[in-house]
Amino acid sequence: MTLETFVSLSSILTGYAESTLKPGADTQKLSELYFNVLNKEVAAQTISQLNTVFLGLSNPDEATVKTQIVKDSILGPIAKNIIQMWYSGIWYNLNDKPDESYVVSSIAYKNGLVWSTIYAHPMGYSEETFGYWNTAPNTNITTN
Amino acid sequence: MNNSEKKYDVVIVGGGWAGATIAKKLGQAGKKVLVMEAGDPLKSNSRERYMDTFYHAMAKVPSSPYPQNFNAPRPSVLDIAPIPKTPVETPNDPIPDIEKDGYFIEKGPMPFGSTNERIAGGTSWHWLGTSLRFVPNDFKLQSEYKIGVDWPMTYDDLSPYYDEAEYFIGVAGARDQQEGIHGITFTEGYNYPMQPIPPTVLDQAFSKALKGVKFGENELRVTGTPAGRNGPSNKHWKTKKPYSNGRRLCQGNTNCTPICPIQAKYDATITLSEAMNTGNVDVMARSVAYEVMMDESTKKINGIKYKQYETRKGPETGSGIATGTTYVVAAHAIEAAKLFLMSTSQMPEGIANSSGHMGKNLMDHPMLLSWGLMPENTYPFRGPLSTSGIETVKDGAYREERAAFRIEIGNEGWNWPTGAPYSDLTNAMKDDIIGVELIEKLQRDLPRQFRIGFLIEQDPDEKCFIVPSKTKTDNLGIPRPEINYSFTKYTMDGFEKAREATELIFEKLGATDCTVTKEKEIEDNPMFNPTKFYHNDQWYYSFGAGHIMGTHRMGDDPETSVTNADLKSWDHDNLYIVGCGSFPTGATSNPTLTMLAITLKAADALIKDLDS
Repeated sequence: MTLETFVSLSSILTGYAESTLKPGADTQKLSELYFNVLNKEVAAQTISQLNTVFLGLSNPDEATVKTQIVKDSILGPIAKNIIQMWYSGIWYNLNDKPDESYVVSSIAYKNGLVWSTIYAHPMGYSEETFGYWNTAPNTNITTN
Repeated sequence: MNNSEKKYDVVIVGGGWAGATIAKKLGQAGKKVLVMEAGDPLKSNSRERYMDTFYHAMAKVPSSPYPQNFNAPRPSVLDIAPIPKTPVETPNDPIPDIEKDGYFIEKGPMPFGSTNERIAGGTSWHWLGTSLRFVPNDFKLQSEYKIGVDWPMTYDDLSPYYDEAEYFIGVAGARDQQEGIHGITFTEGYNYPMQPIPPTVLDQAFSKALKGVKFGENELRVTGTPAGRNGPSNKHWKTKKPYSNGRRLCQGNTNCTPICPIQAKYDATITLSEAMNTGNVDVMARSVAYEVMMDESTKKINGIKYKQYETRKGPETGSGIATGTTYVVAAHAIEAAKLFLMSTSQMPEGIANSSGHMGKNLMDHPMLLSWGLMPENTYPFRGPLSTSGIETVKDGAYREERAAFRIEIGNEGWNWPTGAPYSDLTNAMKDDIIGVELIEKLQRDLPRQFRIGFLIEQDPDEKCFIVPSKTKTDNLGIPRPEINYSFTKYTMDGFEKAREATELIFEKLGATDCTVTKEKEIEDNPMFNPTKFYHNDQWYYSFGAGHIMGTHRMGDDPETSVTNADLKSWDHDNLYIVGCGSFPTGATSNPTLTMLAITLKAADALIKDLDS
């Protein structure tokens, strides 16, 4: 699987545009970070299978990715883990060993998509100013 | 490091809140002070390192930024487990492992829910910041309601020390919101050092919905919570100059507990540094006190034995006896009592324990959490963890019958009871929800999440106590605390009323109640199950508030208290024992501000002692 394919797949899985996940000026390099974790944690053969199935989809959208990948007993848990990395920065152990789940890095934690999705900021990482909480947030968020 | 050659006026055990405060006051008064800190020292990059540990922690609990130290271990809420029904010990029982099973030896019947830190700065690293005063009747529970005991002081006695403590911390608050609540008064002309922290969108929805609503005799009035976090400054009420503590305004990191990333929230590391800057205070870290010694003829304390180490898992590297003219033990409620009860070589019942009350009357503010969904978005995970509460239900004739409570409004959705937003993500994954559908689901649910917490009064009870374990020790061979804990009917009746108040409040808010209350669901949840109890046909479970109180209480009578109102030991006239352990009763307000007020009062008495 190439990084480019990983970003395409991630976009459909997360609901966010490729340009959000891998912006032009990519200072955080999250896609590289998560792609590396994937390659470290999952057997090459399985990633190759994921690659083949994804690239073989004639119309790769949310519905087909869901039926062909997310609901697959082998590829599903991996796809969900990719979503979890993007949303919370966590890699969940795939073999029911919760003690071996981990936060990928502090950059991953601070960039978890779940926070901006719910109009908030990661707990412990706010870039806002005093009193911002007194009024409702801007709820315009661009998604796929 | 051996400081035995240097002559100290005062030796203080504990470099946390109370210890740092006394050290600073003494240092400013020109007294020579040695602070012994059991845990790691303060370093210039401590916060940065703790933040990194926090970011990497899977469970972001109060202790998560602070690594376990096997030579000065601390408890964690992750270690709370059910207590076996018949805890019969046999010599062949495996010794509970600190890493795997936790530091406390829990004897039950209920596990103790609260934790403290053992590092320079102490538990102030992870306090919430709430700086509420007690109400006048909190000081006279026995004479007003025939419950517990009275404090050896009144609200009016403590009022000037509250003023001092609020400036010591740097509290943002509104006098006009607090004044009059159950008889709270302020010194004429007094104002808080900083303007109040603005309410969140959720707070505003509460204020609107609960306007004019009563619970029993009491109004459910929502007020901004005075807090030790920086807001815009006021003019100092005495000097009329703008107040400034040189730290940043709160950025609303929603992370006061376990750690404020920018130190907009006061913590005792500030005071400890200021104490050291007086030039009169030495801090000796990684030095664990294990026995208090006395002169057999005068009964004066004449030394404190300690052990030292260099790394958190490493061996003992030194030992010594710290000596001074006067001694202060400020090691937090559990470690302080443990230290005296371990000091049996000269006094079989322990030093400073002629009353037999050392280690007894352990109290917390057991919390009942209620959570639900608001009818409209109120946007949690924005702002400080809590900015408003309901303080107008904390006192009334009902206290003859059942425990009081205050109500804290949380700004962190369901993070505490369910682990949101992580749990919401995990649940969505189980349901194969992805992509834009996932975004829509998260946006539908999470912005409406909220929780309230009832901090329930716990009356002092002989069944709640700590003793040093006879068989189980830490890495230095120092006994670990053994805790016996349960709730009285008085406290459990408070839980029942908290559920009743939940129903009323949620109805007025138009909120959907999502609180777990069914036996099966409680049992299946590892966070709820250990503390579950059945009372008057309902199931409950509780959370620790982190407010550990009562274990060396002050009083007017040497037979029923450990210290006098100046926190001086009845038994040894050069020994002060300070901290939340000094509280005769815990009432309902978060204890830090009151603890600081009595500590400042004790510091005045101690300086007078040294000068006479």
